[in-house]
Amino acid sequence: MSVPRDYRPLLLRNQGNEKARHLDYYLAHGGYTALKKALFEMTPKDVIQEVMASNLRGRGGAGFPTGLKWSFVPKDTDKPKYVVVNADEGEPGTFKDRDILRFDPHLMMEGALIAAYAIGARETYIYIRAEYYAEYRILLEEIEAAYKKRILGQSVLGSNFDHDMYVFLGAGAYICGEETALLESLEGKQGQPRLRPPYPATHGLYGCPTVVNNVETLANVPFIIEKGAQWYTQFGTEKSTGPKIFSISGAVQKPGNYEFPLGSLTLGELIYEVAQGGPPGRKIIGAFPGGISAPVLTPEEFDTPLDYESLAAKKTMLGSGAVMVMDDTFSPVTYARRMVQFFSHESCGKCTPCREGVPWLLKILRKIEAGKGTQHDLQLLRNVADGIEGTTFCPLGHSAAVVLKSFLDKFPEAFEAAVK
Amino acid sequence: MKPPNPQALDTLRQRVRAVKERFPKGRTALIQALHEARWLFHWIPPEAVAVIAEELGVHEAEVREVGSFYQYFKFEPVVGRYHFRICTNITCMVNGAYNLLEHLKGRLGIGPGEVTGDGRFSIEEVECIGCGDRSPAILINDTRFEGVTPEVLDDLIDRALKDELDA
Ligand SMILES: Cc1cc2nc3c(=O)[nH]c(=O)nc-3n(C[C@H](O)[C@H](O)[C@H](O)COP(=O)(O)O)c2cc1C
Ligand code: SF4
Ligand code: FES
Repeated sequence: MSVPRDYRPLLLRNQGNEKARHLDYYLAHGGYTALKKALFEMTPKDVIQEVMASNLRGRGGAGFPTGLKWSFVPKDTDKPKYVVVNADEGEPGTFKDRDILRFDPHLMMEGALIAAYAIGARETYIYIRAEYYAEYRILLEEIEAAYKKRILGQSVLGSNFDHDMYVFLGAGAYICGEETALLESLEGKQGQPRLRPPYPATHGLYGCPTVVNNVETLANVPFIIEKGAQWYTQFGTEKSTGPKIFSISGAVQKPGNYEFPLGSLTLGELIYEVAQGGPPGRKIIGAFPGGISAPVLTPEEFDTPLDYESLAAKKTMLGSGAVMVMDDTFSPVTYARRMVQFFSHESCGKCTPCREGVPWLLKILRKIEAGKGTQHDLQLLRNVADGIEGTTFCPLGHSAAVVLKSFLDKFPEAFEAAVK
Repeated sequence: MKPPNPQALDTLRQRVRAVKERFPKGRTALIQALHEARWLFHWIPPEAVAVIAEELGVHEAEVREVGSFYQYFKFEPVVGRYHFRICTNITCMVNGAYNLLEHLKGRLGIGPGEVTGDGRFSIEEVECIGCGDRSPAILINDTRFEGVTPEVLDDLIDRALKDELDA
């Protein structure tokens, strides 16, 4: 494999261009033609079929097929339906949605409008994390501009489709990125996950049929509708189609957002070629390939292609596409401790294994980090992690356990040395 | 703690009404209303809780119960005029966030969760704020500062002391 240098980004085409976010710019560059095509030339069913044919999978972390998700929304219902945009982007190391919101918010908004038309939703709620206050302001402005141009409100672009769009500012809780916790939060409650099923497609916001999609997922949709699924599937692999934004950060010389077709380069190529490797004099020891919830890989495994299947085969995941690179500034024990500290801090408290178990892991790790750990503590760490794995109400607590176990498996010497 | 001035509470009342108009369904307005209080008072004083409860027709206890779930809402006066959120998650940690946190603690003489005596500064250690491309990064109130060094931090504090910091 080699880095596809001649690839021209779609989602990040306007990266760095501060003017591009404005509606006038978007319209002058062909914006909202996909929506127009959907509204006037396609039935909602056609739209869903096209998105299904594109094989687009969710970019929020779980990789669920987008068209299929839309098809689960009941057609024959009296209840209002909703589109909810997940702009919570709380997964550590991830900052891809931020750049879409900053440089191309209308691309996401157009995708959301197309989704709304496809499922028959009258309203869209964008849930954006509080840390993205600047992008929240951008959204408020651009939504207002869209109302003025009759892209939102009654009879969108002169069609008989009406739509309203709202922005909701989160308030600092990672768990609210999980779609059902997000819906709880949007309803003005504590952000604790709901039991599934029923899924949001039938019982979502205010108990009504709802599609929840990530910002980047929706930003793909206008291209699929405008140019067709067949054009779209030229990017990526057979099962992992389309472009993907990779946020790479940590111990690299050129951190940033880079867009490539899925499966077109390896983790190592992203780290060493695109991001130009670690700072001089420091040694890269490993990386989280898909956010902090993705089990870590060591340099020997960096030849893994960046797509859903290849990473799953390595018992980790593409997740949000955020690569966080670790070097020898800290020991694996410290990185593991900081990772578990994150999950402990963000546990919502709903289920016991996570609420009690993850802080326990943290306590043991702190002891080991301070040089006071014993062989027994190492064993205990693994036992507690085993007790958490697979037993939690949502994936958050489970992730803490499996990512910790990836550290224990891949850096055994470091942990052994720390308890000597 | 002196009670918030009645004028500010009145402003809050107006803003909560506007929020309720924008989000009429269910209790959706609640979290946005709490932001309005935060923007006016930094923390959420009991008087603000009362206004929100009254305007949205919910119990004060409910406002507190829901609000306290979220890290942005503090129901104790632990938030200063300039609230520093220092990210120490993996990427920022690799790039020196712990040094930054130590420097800040030394400069202000307070630790996370504390406010300086004059109510001007407070510190919170936070998780990733989505700025890994220019880390270490911090937020002061709602404004982000990226690629922060101890020198940059000193400059930000100096400007805040002169009320010249836009945050
Ligand atoms: C703990 C947790 C945190 C999550 N955080 C986010 C997030 O910040 N943004 C996001 O889009 N999806 C997040 N997800 C995934 C969502 O639950 C959901 O799968 C996604 O919003 C669906 O949209 P998609 O199919 O377009 O990816 C998270 C999931 C879990 C379990
Ligand atoms: S696993 Fe953790 S975050 Fe998820 S429901 Fe249980 S306590 Fe809440
Ligand atoms: S780790 Fe600090 S901004 Fe993401």
